[in-house]
Amino acid sequence: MRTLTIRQRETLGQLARHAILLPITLIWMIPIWMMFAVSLRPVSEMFSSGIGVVNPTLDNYAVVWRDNDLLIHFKNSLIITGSSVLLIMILASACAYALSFIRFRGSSTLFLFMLMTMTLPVPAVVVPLIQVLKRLNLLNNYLGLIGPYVALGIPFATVIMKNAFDGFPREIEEAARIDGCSNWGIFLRIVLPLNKPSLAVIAIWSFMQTWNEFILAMLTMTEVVMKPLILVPIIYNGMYLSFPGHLFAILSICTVPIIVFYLSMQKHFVSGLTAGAVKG
Amino acid sequence: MKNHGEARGDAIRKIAGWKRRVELGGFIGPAVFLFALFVVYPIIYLVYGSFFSWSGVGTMEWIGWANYARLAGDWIFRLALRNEVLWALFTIFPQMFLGFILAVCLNRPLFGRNIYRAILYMPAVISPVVIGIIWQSIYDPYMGPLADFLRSVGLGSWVRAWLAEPQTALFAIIAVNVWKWTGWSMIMYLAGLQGIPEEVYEAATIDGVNVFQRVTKIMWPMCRGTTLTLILLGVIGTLQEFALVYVLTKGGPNHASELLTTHIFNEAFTLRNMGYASAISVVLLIIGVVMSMLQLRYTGSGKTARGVL
Repeated sequence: MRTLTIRQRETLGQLARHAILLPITLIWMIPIWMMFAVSLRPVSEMFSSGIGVVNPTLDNYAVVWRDNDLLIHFKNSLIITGSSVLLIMILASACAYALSFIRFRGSSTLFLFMLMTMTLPVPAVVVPLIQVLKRLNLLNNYLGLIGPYVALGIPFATVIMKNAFDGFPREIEEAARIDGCSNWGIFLRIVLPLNKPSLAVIAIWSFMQTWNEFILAMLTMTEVVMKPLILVPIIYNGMYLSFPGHLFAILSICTVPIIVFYLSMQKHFVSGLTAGAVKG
Repeated sequence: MKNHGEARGDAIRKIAGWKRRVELGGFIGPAVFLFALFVVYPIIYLVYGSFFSWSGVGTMEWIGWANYARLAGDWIFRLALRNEVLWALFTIFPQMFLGFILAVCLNRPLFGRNIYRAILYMPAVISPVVIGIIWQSIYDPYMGPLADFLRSVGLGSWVRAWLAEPQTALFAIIAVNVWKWTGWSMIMYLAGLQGIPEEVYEAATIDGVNVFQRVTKIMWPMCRGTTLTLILLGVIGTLQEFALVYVLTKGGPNHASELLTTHIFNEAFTLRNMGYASAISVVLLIIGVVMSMLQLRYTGSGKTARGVL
């Protein structure tokens, strides 16, 4: 061992790291690989076991695409998630601006409330929330999900944005005020544009929260045409029991957009993920 | 009597005060309104509703503490509490150690580093419903790949209906959860490892520290903050878990994999015991608030919280 050069040692270390990473990563891929493999199997191979596929075909995709209006569910998800993310970004950063730049009575109480509900388990409030939605006549209505998603997302987003704003140089704010800039002017023209990274963090975070939210979506959207994408596999789980290829084609269709989105935004995902806990 | 100038000053101040209030309302109004309507009001309603017997339709009957008294004798509730503890222990620690090892391997430049990282984190972004259905077929005792694999290596006697047997159901779901979230632990540790200054390693190299010691004596202790964060966020995640269990077992067989959330769901929306479901929810909510207070107090996010708490 003593005769190894630094370079040889480095190579050896890299090999050792590959030796740990490669098997784990391959095992980790199996479920996702299997989803695509089963979805590509022709009917003749439908019930063959294993995770391989001998004669891949897109038949399953053609069938489920023809028989189901999957675009409707995709559209529902986009409307619900898109509006929620946008509203969370706007409302939470405005609220955080007030908490950080404007002194007002009750601000620390409001902030404490937000801190306490930041990680509220959604299933703990579904019982009363469904009653509220019923009374407001918001069941099977986009607003019935957007409203609660925004409200549940605001605490965390406000805390993240307030942290960012608290570190904002006061000299810039004072200079703008002396130039006659109002609070709205400072907020919209100076503070927001200079805090884009934090906005990206809350955008990614609230996107993940709302896109994959399940229990409230299931209870609120009981009509098939209103269901977001996450509920679609549930509808077809029983229906395609005897056609795993069809079911897995649906799973793949539901999953591909989010994987593409994740891969193209990987950097933001990572910072969005660690910001809440490490930096936040 | 005030003179003319003072009265005018008062009026201006009054108008300025109103202007300030209107402006403030513009900033916090919409957020506070939604927060009050969909978070604060439901929580109050929840506590109120836990003192009644009601089904969601028809009248509510006041029964005092009866729902809470019922908790004490409810074996499913006790089982769910036990399962929460098991879930937290067997999710958090395996995923933490695995995530740490992976992060150590990926901390420095390596061929294919980004690919490894992208694949390992991928399960965390996929919908739990999709994941549940895939794993249902992986666990299939007749045609599933896991059973196939065990048979092919001569361990056919280990094959069982993992999700349908009370002894294995909970742990089978926990394994899926570990698979889903290990990449997340890895990313958190990677962020933690990036925070260790290069001089620490240099000093260690001069002192003749070997690779193993470097990992156990430097990297692991210096990631203590990340470890604590992962434990607390892991507990909070445990309390929120619902979709995976709902899709894989619905809390069965015979409540063996029941969590508080699935118990609430069954009581409220299958059995229509809204009052009792509210009482369980209150317990879950209290545990949740305590956990997030601890999280704020003892981890990085405490920076802002410390002034308030």
